[in-house]
Amino acid sequence: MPRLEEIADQVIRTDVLVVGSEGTGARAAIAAADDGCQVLVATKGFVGKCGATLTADADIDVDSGTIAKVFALPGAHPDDSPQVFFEDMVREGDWIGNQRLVEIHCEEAGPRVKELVDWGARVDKLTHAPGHRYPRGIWIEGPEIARALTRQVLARPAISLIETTMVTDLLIRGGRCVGAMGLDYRNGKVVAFEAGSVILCTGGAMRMYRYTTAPDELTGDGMVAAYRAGAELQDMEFPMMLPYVMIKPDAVNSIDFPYLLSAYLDAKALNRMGQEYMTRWDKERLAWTTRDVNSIAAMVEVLEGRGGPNDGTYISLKHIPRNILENAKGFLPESMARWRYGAFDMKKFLPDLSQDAIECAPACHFWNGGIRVTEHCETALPGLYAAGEGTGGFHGGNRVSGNALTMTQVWGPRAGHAAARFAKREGRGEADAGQAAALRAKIVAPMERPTGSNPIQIRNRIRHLSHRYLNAVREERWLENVLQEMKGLAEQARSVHVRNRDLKKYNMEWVEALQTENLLTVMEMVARGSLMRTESRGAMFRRDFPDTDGVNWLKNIVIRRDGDSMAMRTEPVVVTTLQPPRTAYKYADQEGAR
Amino acid sequence: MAEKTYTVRCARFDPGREKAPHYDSFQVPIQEGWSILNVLTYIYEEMDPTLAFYGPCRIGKCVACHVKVNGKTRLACTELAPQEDITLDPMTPRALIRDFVIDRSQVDVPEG
Repeated sequence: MPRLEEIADQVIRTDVLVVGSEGTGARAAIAAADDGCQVLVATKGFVGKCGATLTADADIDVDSGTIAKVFALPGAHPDDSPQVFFEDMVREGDWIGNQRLVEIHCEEAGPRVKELVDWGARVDKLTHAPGHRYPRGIWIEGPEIARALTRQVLARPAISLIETTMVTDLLIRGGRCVGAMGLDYRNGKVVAFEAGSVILCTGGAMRMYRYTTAPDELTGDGMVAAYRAGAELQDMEFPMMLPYVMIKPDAVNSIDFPYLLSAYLDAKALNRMGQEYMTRWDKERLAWTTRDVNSIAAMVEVLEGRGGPNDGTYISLKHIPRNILENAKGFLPESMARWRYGAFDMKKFLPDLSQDAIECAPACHFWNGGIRVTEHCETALPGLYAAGEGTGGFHGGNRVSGNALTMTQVWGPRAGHAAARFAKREGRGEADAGQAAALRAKIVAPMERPTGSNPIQIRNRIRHLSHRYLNAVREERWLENVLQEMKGLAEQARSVHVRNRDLKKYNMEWVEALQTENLLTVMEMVARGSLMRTESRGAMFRRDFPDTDGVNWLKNIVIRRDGDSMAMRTEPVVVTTLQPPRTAYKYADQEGAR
Repeated sequence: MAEKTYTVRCARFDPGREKAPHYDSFQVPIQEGWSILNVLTYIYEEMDPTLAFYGPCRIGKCVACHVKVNGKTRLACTELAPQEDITLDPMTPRALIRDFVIDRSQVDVPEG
């Protein structure tokens, strides 16, 4: 067998390989380095300039009692505690979160977020988002978090980085993960990593949807690499939709400014007849109900023909007097009060809100499910760890606002420590040259096929199908149709090719080609999971099974690869102290659920 | 009726393979409310998949998608494209990877 150096263009050896460099990956790398390991971080973009942390809106949840004691922020409520936070998280997750994981999450949120603030991430204010009984959202802008963490990473000599590198698959030997392979697309080099342990911090697969708040990198690469390597995934039927993102104009497509307005102000959600349709879903909270119910309600309006000209529904603030809107600036986050979103001046893109409504659509915002992990972030494959958005079990069927960033800060370090322990105990792994050669062949295949299918066209078809049929509202016949059409797409994906095959340097189409199989695999998981779950819960509404079924479905759907097919089974939900309702009741009927 | 199009002149350069930059012109149906990033994406998806640019967040937070629009440095994602002929250049000729992609790395890549 040839040496690894003869197979890959570059070989890098390390104790702990962290895939992903932002909220979760940076924290994992810091923890493993502080435990005395050499750490290599491989990231798909440029450090501090990629990934979903940067684009967070960005509240970070800690229970209000701890905020009062530790952060001394105005508005914190001393009656709140990790226990109350736990109860809200389990309830809003629609009872299928792993309660053991949720307990740890709520306990460790305070100390981990305190570290982030001590590292210089500037706190704006405390916010109170729907689904939380107390104000828990410590507002820190995404770029602040990225800057603070990047500084910590760069300050540690034990951490090295490789950027513009898409990790495509994991190396396995003797039933253990010993590294990974990937493409450094900046120069077209195939890179092999040999490591003592690997941590996947690669986030969700939101980019399979037409509308998404997530950046380009989020194509499910880590989740699918783990799946191919034999790890288990769970709760993949629950991609989270954010209601009310902009549709037009294209420059601000998918920007969730209207949703943010609706979270702070008493916005009305209207259909094309001007009806306030939320009265049919949550009479008390209306558009202030949770994001899943808002998305489902909006999608039902569209699918039943009551949407606007761009297949959206409307957010209106017209009923709010101007002086009340003016006064709102005092409690809106600073950037919103200036009508800023990222670097956009939203005044240029919004209609006159005292007269007109904004047409909006639900966008994929977060991945509730993902790689199935233990409380030490272990996967089913020894040596492989996972943390952050690409893992499942924390948010159950739905995540409350602010908990994505908390997840990065709590679980990144836990994974880092556990992976460091493993790497120290087991030593560095050694790749199987045969597997490495096969993975190299897979990476370069789209560049070697003289003809074939177009990855951009396949991706656009994936986005269209996902938006319509794998959105918050699903139905058996649509799911069957999607699975049927996916067979053809999978066939095309097998022959995906890059048109300029001489162009090794920064060939974006090559990266797209490598993402195609990942997007399709995740799509199949969403469709199959949705078909199997014959009830409505959390972020998923089955039109043909409109009730929440606590008798039969207090379960998680677990997926693992069995040869070329997707093996699916259910596991009972892990319950510690909070008993879920074990009856069937109308979906989104909060009284019935309590 | 054919869509109204505008000429977008894109500076193309692969340092190491080419001696000097050149311009490629594309006829792009720029719509009202398109950003410069929408223009680049349209060219990549519909006309020339070899075009290279960076700007994953699309909302002005990664602050890494700068291009020169008619000579002025702008963020591609938040800069509205005028409905007229335009010339696009990379933000700087230094540290150019290819076309519009500038090396944004803050770190030294480890050697084998």
